[in-house]
Amino acid sequence: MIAAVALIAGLIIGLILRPTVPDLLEPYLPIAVVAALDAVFGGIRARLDGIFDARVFVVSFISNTLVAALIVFLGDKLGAGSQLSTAVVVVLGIRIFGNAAAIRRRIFKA
Amino acid sequence: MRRRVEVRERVEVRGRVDASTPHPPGRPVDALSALLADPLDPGYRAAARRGDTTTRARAALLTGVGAFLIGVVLAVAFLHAHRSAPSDARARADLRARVAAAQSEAAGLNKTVRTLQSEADQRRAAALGSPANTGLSPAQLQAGTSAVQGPGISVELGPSPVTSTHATGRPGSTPISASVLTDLDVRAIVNELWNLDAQAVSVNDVRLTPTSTIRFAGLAVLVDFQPITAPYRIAAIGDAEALVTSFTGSAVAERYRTLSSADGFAFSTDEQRNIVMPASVLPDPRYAHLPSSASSVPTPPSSSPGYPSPLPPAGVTAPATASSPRATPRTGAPS
Repeated sequence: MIAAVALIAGLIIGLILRPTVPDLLEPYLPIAVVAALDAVFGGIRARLDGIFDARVFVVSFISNTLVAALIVFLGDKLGAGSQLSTAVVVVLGIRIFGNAAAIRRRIFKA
Repeated sequence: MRRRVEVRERVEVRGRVDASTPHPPGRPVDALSALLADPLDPGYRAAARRGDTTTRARAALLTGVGAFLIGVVLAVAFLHAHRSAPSDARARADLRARVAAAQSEAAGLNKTVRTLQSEADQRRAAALGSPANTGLSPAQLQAGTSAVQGPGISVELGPSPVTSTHATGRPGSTPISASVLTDLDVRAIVNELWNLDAQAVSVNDVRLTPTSTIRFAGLAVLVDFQPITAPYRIAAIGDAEALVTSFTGSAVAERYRTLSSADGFAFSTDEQRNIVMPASVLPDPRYAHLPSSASSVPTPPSSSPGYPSPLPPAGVTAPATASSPRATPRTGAPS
């Protein structure tokens, strides 16, 4: 299916091209990774529930990343950078685990 | 049950319905419990309620773009996290090479020292006569500068198993092990053996002299600045039976027996019939010198050389001693 193929293509292109991360964006890379994982698991669960929407998928990933980066950036300026970063990662992590559990319930019980 | 079946049927038929939610709609929603109860992005439900508005091609394109971006982000993050791996490996290999080079250099220097010493001994023997006549031999024995052999005891202090299991771990974490055997442990055993009238002691084949040091640096015990690794084998030459009996009954041995059963390292004592110990090297004394009058040179108490007998190096009758003519003072007293 399209999404899996595109994901693998993105991974391969990323590994081949090896883009260097600009120093400015380096602290936000973990946030982007967690938001990406959240979008993946959310998308898979929505697909299994039958309510997947492509626009929601893309927009939620991009907006989650931007909002999370903005929160962490603000936190850095206000002196609470690491705490807010932890909070963002915790919330997104809870969503990842929740969606993963729902996917597991779908696959193994339904 | 019926409701669930209904929903499933509707999902299969139309594919765009509110998915089954675990909680009834009327429940009060505070952020964390809502998050825990239903982690799906609410956008999906809203889009499902609105209905299908994009064409299939456009949906596929958007999905593809999104998945591609996610793939790139994951790949970049992976590479970024491991970008320093090759330089780390290079640094480790470089350190290993430097350590090996330093060790071989030290071994070469040791060999040079021994060669020069035996040469000095030959000349001294030629000049002064055999060491037995000059009273040198027992002195050398007690100073640890002649090789010896004899019966005695050997104590083995094993490696702590804790250190080996803590070798793995997340990169960057320092292993902390509760029972690291340090120089204090080696020293306690060595001092107890001296206390029990041992006549020559060696630790991991490093002969102890009156000026030997047993120290701890990093995680390694250093005997005379030579690093040794666990297991620590401490050998002592003397009255074997008496040594074994009194050592195993001593407080030090009792303490280490208790510790070894609690912490898991090995501790054992063995009587040995013949222990061979190498000679050691004494540093030249730079400040200590013999008293000015030649007659007051103290002769070492000649205990009957019953137990350790000096091993003559091949071809030479005089064992080595470290005090070179350079160190004997301006008074001219014989060394």
